[in-house]
Amino acid sequence: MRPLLFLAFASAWNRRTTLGLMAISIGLSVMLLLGVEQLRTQARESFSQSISGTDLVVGARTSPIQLMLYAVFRLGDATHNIRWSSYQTISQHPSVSWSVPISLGDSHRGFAVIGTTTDYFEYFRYADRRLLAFSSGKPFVDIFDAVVGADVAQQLGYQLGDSIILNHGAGGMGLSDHADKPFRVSGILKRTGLSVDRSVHISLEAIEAIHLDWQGGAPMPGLSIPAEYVRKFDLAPKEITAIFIGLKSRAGVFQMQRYINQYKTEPLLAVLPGVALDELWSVVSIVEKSLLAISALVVGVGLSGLVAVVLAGLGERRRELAVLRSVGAGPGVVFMLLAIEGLMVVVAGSLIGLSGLMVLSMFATPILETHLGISLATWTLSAESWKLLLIVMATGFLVSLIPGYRAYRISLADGLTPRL
Amino acid sequence: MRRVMHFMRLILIAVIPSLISVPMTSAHESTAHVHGRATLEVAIEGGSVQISLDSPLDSLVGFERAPRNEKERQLVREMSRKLRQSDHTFIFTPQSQCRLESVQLESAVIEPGLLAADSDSNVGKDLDRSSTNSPDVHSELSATWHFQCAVPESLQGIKVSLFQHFPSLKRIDAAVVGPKGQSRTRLSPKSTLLKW
Repeated sequence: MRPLLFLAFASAWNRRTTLGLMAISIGLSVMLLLGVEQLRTQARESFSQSISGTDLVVGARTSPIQLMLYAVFRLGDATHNIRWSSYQTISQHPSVSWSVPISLGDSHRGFAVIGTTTDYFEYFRYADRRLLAFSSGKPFVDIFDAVVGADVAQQLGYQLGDSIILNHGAGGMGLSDHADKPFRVSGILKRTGLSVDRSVHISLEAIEAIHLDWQGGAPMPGLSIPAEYVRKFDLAPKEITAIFIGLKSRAGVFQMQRYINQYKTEPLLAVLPGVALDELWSVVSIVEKSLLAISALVVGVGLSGLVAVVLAGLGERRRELAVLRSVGAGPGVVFMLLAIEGLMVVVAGSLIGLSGLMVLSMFATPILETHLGISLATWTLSAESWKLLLIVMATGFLVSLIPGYRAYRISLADGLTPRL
Repeated sequence: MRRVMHFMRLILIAVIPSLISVPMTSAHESTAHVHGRATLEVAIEGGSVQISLDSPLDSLVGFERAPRNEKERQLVREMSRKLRQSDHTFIFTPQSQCRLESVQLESAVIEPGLLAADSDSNVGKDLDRSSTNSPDVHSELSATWHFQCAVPESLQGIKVSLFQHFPSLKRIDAAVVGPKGQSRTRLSPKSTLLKW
């Protein structure tokens, strides 16, 4: 077997340009296939980790998926808010263990600003019931304290005590700032890999305070309430965007959901985050499957290219094969040589694809995290990906048997004097 | 690259909710009434398993009003009998040793006596509820089963064979809250296994 391997390698090395290009094209197709699969599984993982500790998410009545997207993943916007009085009633329900209100809408240099209470840091859980942890500082105490996520601190270079200015709405050119009321960074959170990393957390009272002298979405002309006087006003929140709820008994979630959905004073919607995510995936799965099918087709194209190249090369190699026959190699050996060659190209292609994927995901991970909130684990392949890779290699080996068989036939018929 | 990502994000925001807004049926109160579709809620905590079914009455008995004659009353009694024999309806992992504790059946248009376990053929005869209900009102049946499992650790799934007993039922959207968190499964006559 060893001399055969050597012979196959030496012969392939002789034609390294063509076969090398073939390996690269197979590599690219493998990269695409595995990339789609990785993105698919890890996006699910990352999404479901963000909410693993929350029993119910409550918002204004809308589509459950939309509520999940804006409340948990900060994608899209809320259509309506919830009255503060509704929050108070719901949070005092006997089966509620903890509840965290959040208020969205403002931003800080592209990062979302979340108005909430200190309960957020105490109760919000993710990834198998882990709590949020501070890498430095502590939760907000004063009205103008802000707790920033790991990405915010890193990308904008913030440290404890730094002064920051929030933007109204999505921020950007032409939109007003809350420049008259700067905030102080009181805490920096540890990295979680979730949307929390890209958020600035302030108290609900602070959200009220920065909008005291605003009306109809713009600062009131001629009226400005300086930061030192806001404490004299009633800063009790009037509206919030969503509530995260943890229950005392997990099984009571359906009763609680019914109670909130039938809430009389205001149309509210309570969703079970795990159930809503499954619904989201069942819709997205059509897209996922077609992406996967397209990349499988691309791999198919790559492999048939391989067969074509090796078959076309057979014509040139008739003399080589005849010489091998003359020194005593049987047709079986010729068959094996060709099959080994095909397998080598496929394995090389898969390796190229794998390393390409690693390099690509190293570059793509930060971009995906910032824009879509999906965190990718760069170096791990899921079991499903390994399976796909094995299938590609096995198919590659099987199709390279075709030129092997052809060579076998030729070497039987040609004898020592092939007509070229 | 930034611009591309921004564009992708916009697509995600714009497309997903619009795709989803049609088949959403999880808001309980405003659950759409679609004949052939039912919702199932399964809550597992410790050894206690509670299953609630909400189904259009039409999918279970073929009409959505109070029964008008003996034949229709018989259909209701038949349905009640099938739903109460839930050993045949929900098949648990045998090792978990789950036993049925109680069943509750409720419908706004059917007299409770007719749904009761020991309903005899005289119940409901003298009542004529149909006159008070307009015939084109949609109505539902809600059923709640309570099971107790001796070995909850070995409970791995529930086979739901409601489709066999009620052929008009085509789809069940099941939400499960169990030891491994929340999940959702769509059941059909071809796939009847609830796993978590």
